[in-house]
Amino acid sequence: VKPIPPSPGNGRLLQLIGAGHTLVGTVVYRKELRAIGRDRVVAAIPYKGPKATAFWFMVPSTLIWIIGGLVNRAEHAGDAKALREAHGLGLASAILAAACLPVSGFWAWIAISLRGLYAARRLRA
Amino acid sequence: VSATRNVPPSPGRWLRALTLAHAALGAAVYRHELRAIAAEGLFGTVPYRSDRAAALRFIGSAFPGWLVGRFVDTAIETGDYRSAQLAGVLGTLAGVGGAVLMPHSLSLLQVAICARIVLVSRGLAAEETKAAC
Repeated sequence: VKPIPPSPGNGRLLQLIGAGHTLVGTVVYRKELRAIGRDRVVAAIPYKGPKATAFWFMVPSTLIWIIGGLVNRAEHAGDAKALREAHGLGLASAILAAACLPVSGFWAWIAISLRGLYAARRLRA
Repeated sequence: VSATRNVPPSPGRWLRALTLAHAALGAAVYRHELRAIAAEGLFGTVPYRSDRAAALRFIGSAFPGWLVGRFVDTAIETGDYRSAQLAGVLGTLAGVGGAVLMPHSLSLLQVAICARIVLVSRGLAAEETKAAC
């Protein structure tokens, strides 16, 4: 029996978060991003300082987008083990991050991870 | 999954090793910020614009990096080369961007590993197509 992925799929929701994260970063860190552009991009980012903060905010967006695509694949393949691992690790890291930075989008990631864990459990059952 | 398929060691494991190195580098570079976050009891200790935020995001990006490595392994093992290839291409592009912006980082290693993911998954897909013919 072919597994039925949840609708909307958690992978697609993660990709939505990745896109939203980029959008928020572009607005919140617009001054820093402009400064990076003014510095001609190459080697424009030190390890510390406002530009580094902006850069490291933007980096996870791509990773979350890629993970969303791969979670989507696992949902369609009925790979409960991979889904459990992905959402379990996602939940743990999002809880830690939300505690440090309560006013953030980490709560959405927590919600998706819980939904994903529930879906993975149903797949296994 | 074909029993005769010759699957090389997955490059996803190298991506996971890279994320461990990334986390270790973050722990060293941002040790003062991480100590301050821990000393103040974690909750609400990271403002949006601060080196603490950079530390949190730097270390935090290791988790999704690890997951990408894990999923790439699964995709290759189960014969879903298209997903592995797409992840590899996006990872390579992101790595190139990171290496340009921050040359003194692990981004060049990311480029090498993700390019390898693309090559391995492409090779396996071609092998499978050839076997099917």
